[in-house]
Amino acid sequence: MKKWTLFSLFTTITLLIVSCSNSTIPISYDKNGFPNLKGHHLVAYVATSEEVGEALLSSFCEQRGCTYEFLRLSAEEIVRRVTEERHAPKADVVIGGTLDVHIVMKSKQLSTPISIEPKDSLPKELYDSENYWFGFEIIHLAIAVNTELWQKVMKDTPIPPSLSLQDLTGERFKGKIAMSDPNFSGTAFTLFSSIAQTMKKTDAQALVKKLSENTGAVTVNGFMPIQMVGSGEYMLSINFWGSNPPGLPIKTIQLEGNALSTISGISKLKNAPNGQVVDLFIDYCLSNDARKIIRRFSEGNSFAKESVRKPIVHSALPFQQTKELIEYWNKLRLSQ
Amino acid sequence: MNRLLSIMLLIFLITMGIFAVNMYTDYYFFKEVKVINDKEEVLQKATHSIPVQAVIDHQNWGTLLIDDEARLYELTTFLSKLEQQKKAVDMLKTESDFLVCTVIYLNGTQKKYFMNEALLKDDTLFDESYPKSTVIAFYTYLLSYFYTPESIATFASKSSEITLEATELKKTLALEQKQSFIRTLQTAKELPSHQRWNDSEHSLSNEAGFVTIYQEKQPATRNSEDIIQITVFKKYYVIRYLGDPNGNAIYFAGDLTTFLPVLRKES
Repeated sequence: MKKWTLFSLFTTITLLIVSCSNSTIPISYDKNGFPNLKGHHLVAYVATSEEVGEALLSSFCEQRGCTYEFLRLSAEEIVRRVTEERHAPKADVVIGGTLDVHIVMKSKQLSTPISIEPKDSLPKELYDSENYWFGFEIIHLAIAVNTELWQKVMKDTPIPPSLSLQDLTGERFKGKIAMSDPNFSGTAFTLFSSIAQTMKKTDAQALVKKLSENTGAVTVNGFMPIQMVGSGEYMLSINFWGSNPPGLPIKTIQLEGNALSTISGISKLKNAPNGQVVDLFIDYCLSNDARKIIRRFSEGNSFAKESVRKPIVHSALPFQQTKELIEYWNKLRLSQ
Repeated sequence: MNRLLSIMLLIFLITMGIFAVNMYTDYYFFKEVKVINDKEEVLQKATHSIPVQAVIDHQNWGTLLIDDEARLYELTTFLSKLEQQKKAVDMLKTESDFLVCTVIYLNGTQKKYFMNEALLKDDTLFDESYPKSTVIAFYTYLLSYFYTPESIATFASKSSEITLEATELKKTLALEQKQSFIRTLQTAKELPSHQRWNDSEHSLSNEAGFVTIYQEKQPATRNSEDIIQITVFKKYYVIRYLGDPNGNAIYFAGDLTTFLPVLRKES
């Protein structure tokens, strides 16, 4: 009788553990070790370009038989949403967003360590020492130019292959620039980090002051300025390279300067409903196959080409400098 | 008997322990009695509690009625979260024709939320507690209701110009083709995300062309809010509303290639 009681108790506990686990369908592997994810689903919040996010998810799921859905949001909104949902997460993974977003998620205990093989080939600054986040893409700041408006305003002057931040502060661009707000957008935060890290405080403030005077529109999201350039509302915008919607009169040119690149990260959310699949997905995002896809959709922003530019370093001191510069910008905007 | 007594004693001690912990937490949490004077608010909420319809009026997209329970519940849940941020609600009180969201309650009362263009493009009012991202999230949420074949067709029907572009050729949609174009938009089916890229031909193919829908004819006065841009593929198309702060793309199964300009083969 006692044996039967113990057996029933053991069975009940086992069943409870199995039923409470996140993944109801066990993952099977073929003889080559390739996972079969039929019946599994992946939910992602995407802060990188939609093309990159969807291409990564689709190519992963196509080959492995899983399904997916995603929502593209601004970096700040993703953090807000994930914080709200922390007790019952709806998404499994955050794809994209500058590393400061992933560092914030780690510090707020919104993400969890990723269970993947060590990536010795990756430089140390591209992953968290405790596996909370990985960098999967290096993104560069660029300038989007409305070709029709440029021709109309600048007459015979052709669009140059690049412009510097100093160029953007010139009189000829007064009121013609749209950019996002560094208080909310990862794009503008990267720009301010770059300025704060590469200039003396007084020079940085002088540049931000002139840039603020030339800026006609400031948006919450980093996606909006380039759309305003595409519509012809503004002539120039500062955005990430490769983020322009196709079919619009936009030419993307280089933004000259140092540290104008940043790392786009990927994190697994704490208590992700499909945790096991996320580990496999993130492992895939760091593979050579995924790099080829990223290169195709984000115009060459994979790590393979990244010996040329030094990405922004995310550490406490530059972060503080950046925050101070953003505070200065806020004061300027309030007084305008 | 002794064993029974010891079990009973154990149960008694556990019960007393729970009781003591309960007393302590009650004292700890409730030692101070505070009176919250929210009678008026509670009464107001009670009368507003049953929404029966919502009307979203957008300058460019037209009017949309929401009266099914699930959507109304979703909308009012979103609004109740928004209502917790007084500054956000204050920002949505300034009357504007750009977007009006009206919630109508069972007792006939109405609650209106206004959104103006300045909130999208100007942040001179920034301060640390400024809930601008909440307001933008509310706007993008409302916009998502318009991303249906019917509403996109309505947007196109209000257009002043539709341009078609393929293989270096560009033309304006002829007036006699406009109805057929709108019908194609109207009868399209939204592609669920898992169906979008499930064959390699779709996922990596090049686009066949582009369609741009303008509501404002004069390029000098065009705004992002006036424009829908469509990337046309062989069996489906991708719609982007340039006034969407999130830059969302919506995928539809349908064939718009027949409207695109084609290079005539020389004989």
